[in-house]
Amino acid sequence: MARLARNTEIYENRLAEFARLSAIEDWEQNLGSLASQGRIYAYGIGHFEKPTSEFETADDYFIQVNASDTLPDTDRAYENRFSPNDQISAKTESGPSLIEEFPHYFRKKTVENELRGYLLLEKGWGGVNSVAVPEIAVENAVSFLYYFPYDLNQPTPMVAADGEVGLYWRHQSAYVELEFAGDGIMFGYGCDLNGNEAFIDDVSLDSDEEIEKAIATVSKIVSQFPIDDD
Amino acid sequence: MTKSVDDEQVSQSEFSCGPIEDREDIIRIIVYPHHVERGEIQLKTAAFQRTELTDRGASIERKAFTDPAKLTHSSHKLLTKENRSIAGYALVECSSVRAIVDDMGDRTFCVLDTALKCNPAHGDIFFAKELPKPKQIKYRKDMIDAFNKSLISHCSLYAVEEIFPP
Repeated sequence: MARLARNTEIYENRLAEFARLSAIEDWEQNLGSLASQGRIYAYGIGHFEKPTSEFETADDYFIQVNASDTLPDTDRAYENRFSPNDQISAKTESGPSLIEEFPHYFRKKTVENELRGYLLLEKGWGGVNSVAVPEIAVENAVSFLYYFPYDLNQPTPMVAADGEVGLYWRHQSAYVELEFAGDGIMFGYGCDLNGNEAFIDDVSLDSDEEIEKAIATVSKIVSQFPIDDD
Repeated sequence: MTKSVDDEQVSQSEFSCGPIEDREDIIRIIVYPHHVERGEIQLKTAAFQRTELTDRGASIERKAFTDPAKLTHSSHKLLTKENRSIAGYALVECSSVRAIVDDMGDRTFCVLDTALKCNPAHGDIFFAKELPKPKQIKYRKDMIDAFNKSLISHCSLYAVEEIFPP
């Protein structure tokens, strides 16, 4: 049991560190991009001595938009992403936080980081027959995520023990699910609030035409969903 | 190899107490965080893995042939595999899974008595026919909806003592 606990601790630490570092890297790139556009923001990484109480608001918001609790470790990792020690979401009184200003971006980023967290799952993670998640499945899911419109409800990620990665949306009786397999193929099913169904069969992520068609199909259904129904 | 509704007519295991009746309650062990969101009672899609339904079967327990100790034991066996916890149990009458049909009116799931020597109450849900993958997603959703309907009616996941009241 002690060995199991130790392994669990190592696993949790790796996931938390992965998400934390990736969040910092994203912020650095984001800030660099904004700076290059001449936009001035009062944010920084580890530069503020006294983060305001509004930091908590931003952090709470981020947890709210956490797309899934599929893994306790990644869940915890997300909550740790904006820890006070990093002060990466701290702000001054001069303006709104980046999270407040770019909520659509952060919704996607949250989903992306959880998807990438699946790559840390090793054989046996979900039982004796479970397998590691193929990188192509994760990359295709992330690609689709960023093709998908920013102003619509963002999906919840999921992972299956057979290594398939998925994205799904649910609102009342409506439902959309996409699965990304290790062979680079995507397929899915959708049903809108009126019961109209759509079947998405073996889409190659290499085909722009097929992706656009799939995105149009999913967007049509998801556009019925309220944006805050995460 | 695809299972079929015909397989429900004969026992699938020498350890079985007999084929599963329509009116039997079947139990799915719900594991946090893979099967359910924290604080939620609705099952996530991952509660029933699609390829389980096509290949190995999605495990259930037959209420009539288990008891609190055995059910708890089966649950704890899942916990030794990785870092997860038992969120509770989803329970439906077998008929609600068998009632799901496709556009042709054919049943999409069969529920088989795949009893184990160490667990005679064990059963499995399989797709009852070959289906394109998008349709597998559709009917799996319908099955999860059947479990969710029961959970919403119950207002929570089931606890062992609620399945087996004193």
